[in-house]
Amino acid sequence: MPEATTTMATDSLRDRFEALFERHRKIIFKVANTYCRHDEDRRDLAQEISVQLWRAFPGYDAQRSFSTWMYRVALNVAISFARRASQRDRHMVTLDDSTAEPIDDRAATHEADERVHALQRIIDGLGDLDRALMLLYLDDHSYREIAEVLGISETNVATKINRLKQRIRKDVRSNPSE
Amino acid sequence: MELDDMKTAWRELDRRIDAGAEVDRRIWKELKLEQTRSTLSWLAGWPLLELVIDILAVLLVGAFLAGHIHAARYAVPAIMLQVAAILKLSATIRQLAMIARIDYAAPVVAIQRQLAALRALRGRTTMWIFLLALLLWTPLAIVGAKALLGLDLYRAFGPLWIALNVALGVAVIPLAIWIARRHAGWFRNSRVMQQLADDIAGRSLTRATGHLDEITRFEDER
Repeated sequence: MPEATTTMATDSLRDRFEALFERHRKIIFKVANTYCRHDEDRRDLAQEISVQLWRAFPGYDAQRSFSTWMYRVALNVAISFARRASQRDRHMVTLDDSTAEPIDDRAATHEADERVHALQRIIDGLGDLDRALMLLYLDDHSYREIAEVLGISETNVATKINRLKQRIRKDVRSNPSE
Repeated sequence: MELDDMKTAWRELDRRIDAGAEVDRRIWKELKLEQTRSTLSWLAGWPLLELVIDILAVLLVGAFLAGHIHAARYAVPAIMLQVAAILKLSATIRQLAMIARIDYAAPVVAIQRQLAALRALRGRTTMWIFLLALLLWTPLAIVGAKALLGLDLYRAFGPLWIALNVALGVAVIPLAIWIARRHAGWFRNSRVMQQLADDIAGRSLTRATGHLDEITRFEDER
C-alpha cells in the first residue's frame, strides 16, 4: 500500500504542477525567445526550463507567487544555457535578414516586423542580467516584482531601467533606420 | 525607438509567441519530465565521478605509502602524489558543496553568482591539475611501476632518466599552455578537448571571473 500512496501523492503533485504550468507556460516561451534566436535552441531551452521547474516544484511555497517562482527558475536556467551555448559556439548571434526567425512566419505587417527585429537587436546587445531586467520590465512587472525575481533592490531596478532607456535612445540615434 | 515603441514591439512578439506556443504545448505534453536527462546535469555529473576517482586515488596511494614508508625512493614520490590527491579531493568536495547549495528558484543574481564562482573554481582546479600532472607524472610512473609490476624504475632506467623526465615535464608546461592559447582551433571538433584547452589557457577562469565582475556591477546601485 505504501507504494500506492506514493504514486497517488506523485500524481497529485503532478496535477498541481500541470495546472499551474498551463496557466503560466507563456513565461517559458518568452524567456526562451529572449535568450535564444534559433528554433532548435529555443525548444531545447524550453524543455530544460520545464524539467528544472518540475524538479524544483516540491520546494515551491504555495503561499508565494507562482509566476515569480517560475521566472526565477526560467531565467536562471536560461542564463546558464546561454552561457554554455556561447562558449560552445564562440559566436554572437546577430540578427539580420538571413538569420531572423520570427516566432510566427505569417508576419502581420512589414512595420511590425521591423519593430520586432529592432527590439530583438536591442535585446541581443544586452548582457544576460540586463536582458532579464528588460524582459520583466517589458512584461509590465512592477519594480517590486522585478526586484524580487532578480534579488536586487527596487532602487537599483529603477536606476538600471533609466540607464537602459538612455542606452536604447543612444543606440537608436546611432542606427537611424529605427 | 522609444519605450512605447518597444512595448508595442514586445506585444507583437507576445502575440507571435502565442501563435507558436500551441506547438510547444504538444512537446510539453509528451515530455516525460521524470526521465528527461537535463543538460544541466553537467553540474553534478562530472564532480561525482571525480569524487569516486579522488577517493580511490587517496586510498591506493595511501596504501602504497604505508607499505613503503621506510624506503625514501618510494616514500617521497608517494607523498608528493598523496598531497596532490588530497588537494584534488578537497577541491572536488568543495565543488559538490557549492552545487548542493544551488537552488534555481532562488533570486537570479544570487544563483548566477554561485554558478560563476563554481565555474571559476572548476577552471582554476583543472588548470592546476594539468600543471601538477606534468610535474607529477614521473613520481606516478615510479609508484605505479612498483605497485602494479613490481618494477624498480630507478634500477631499470637510472637516475638520469628520472631527472630527464622531470625536466621534460617542466619544459612541456609552457608549450602546452602556448598551444592551448594560440591554437585552440585545433580542438574545435571536440567539445571535451576545447573545454580542456580553455581551462589550460585560463580562458575558463577569465570568463568566470569576468562574469563575477559583471554580476558585481549589476548589483552596484550607483
